[in-house]
Amino acid sequence: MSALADIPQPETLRDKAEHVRALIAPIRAQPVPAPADLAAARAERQRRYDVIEDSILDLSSALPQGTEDYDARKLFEFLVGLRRAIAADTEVTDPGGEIELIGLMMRDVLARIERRLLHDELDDPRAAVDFVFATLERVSAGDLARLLGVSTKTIGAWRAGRPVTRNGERAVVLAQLISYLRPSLTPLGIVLWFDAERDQLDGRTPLQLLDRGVASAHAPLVALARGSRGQLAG
Amino acid sequence: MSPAWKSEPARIAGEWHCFRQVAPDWPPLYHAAGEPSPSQRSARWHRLGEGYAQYLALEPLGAWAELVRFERIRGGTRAAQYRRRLYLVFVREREIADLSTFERWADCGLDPRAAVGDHGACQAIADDLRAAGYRGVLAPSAALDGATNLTLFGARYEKVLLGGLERWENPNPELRLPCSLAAEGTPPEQLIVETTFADMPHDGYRAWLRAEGLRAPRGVP
Repeated sequence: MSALADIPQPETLRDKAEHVRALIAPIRAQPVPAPADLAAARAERQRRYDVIEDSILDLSSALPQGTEDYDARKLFEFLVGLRRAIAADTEVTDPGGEIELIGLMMRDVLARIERRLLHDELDDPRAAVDFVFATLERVSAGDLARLLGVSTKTIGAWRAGRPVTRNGERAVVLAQLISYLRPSLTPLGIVLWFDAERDQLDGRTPLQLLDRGVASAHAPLVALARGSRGQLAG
Repeated sequence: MSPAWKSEPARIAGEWHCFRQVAPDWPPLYHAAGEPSPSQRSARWHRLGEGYAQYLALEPLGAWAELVRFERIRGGTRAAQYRRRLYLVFVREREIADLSTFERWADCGLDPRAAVGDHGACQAIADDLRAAGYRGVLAPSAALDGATNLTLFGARYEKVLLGGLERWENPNPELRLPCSLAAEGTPPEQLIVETTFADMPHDGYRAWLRAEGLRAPRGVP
């Protein structure tokens, strides 16, 4: 956990989740400790574990549902497994790879928490619009207007900080979709994604679905945006 | 196996160097520990909510073609907007169903058209294979004529190697797979014309029909 000093201290709830995930980052292989160093290696690993445990406690207590949160409970389950695996690994070699595997599983849970917290933030239409503008910074006002379903004049007003009083639901859904797409698409690519006919939508484009109705478009478009991130067999 | 099968596919063991492309913020393999219900989108060999599958291609272009087909990328401008990581995945497995050619589908009493057609038939075949103890399946790629996909049933967790394969002894071969980052980039432009999209006939399947003296069906594939 030598990289701990490089990790900024968390400020928001989502920062806290990212912080814990960074703590559990895959650890590069260390040489098997010599017998003389074994006690120091055990102590160092215990210190790392304590930091992780403290951070998870901090995160879970800050979540709106606290320890009743489903994913927080999963984290605690894995944390117990991690503690037991560490206790059983007296030679500090993790011969069965169990400690590393539990770390990967905990990172899955933390990634889900981060995604959920981001979407919670984007449930506010103003935050959603700001997120869209920031992600699609150089996209024309005309394209932004098409995506958000408003006039270019409204885009200008929103850019100037005016309140988002209409199409807020569409802005929220759009921001959520963009949150899935942005790691693997350029801003232009995101715009083109909304304009591309899709087999999964019976030949319609995502934008056509949004224009028909935000509520009915939400589930199929989220599934499409999520589903494209890892290879499937078509 | 259900009565539709004439015979079981060969159960093979072996080592394969496979390719898999994912979004840059995603791990190389599909896993989502602890989620209440499996969230991996339905695809050829599994249904949403019924577990996971690791979709791999034996050829790098096969991996890219899956992206091109899924996203329906039909122009160079769109292709250039994608950012993906292509991983080399070292698979050492057993109990793999060998349905790698259309002939093998026919030998088992299966309709080879299903190999590259709608997903429903393959999902049902996957049910049978899993129930019979198979751990994965080799099958022709629907997205790229001549390419072969290896799909492993269930979750797997990666070990991303920085060095060579010999640097890591897999402590849990049932669940862990070593991987290496091979490339980060955009899908090759040649695939815009080479990929078989869902609304196109599959050249490999059509060639097999001709070789067997069979008439090509109406429609696709």
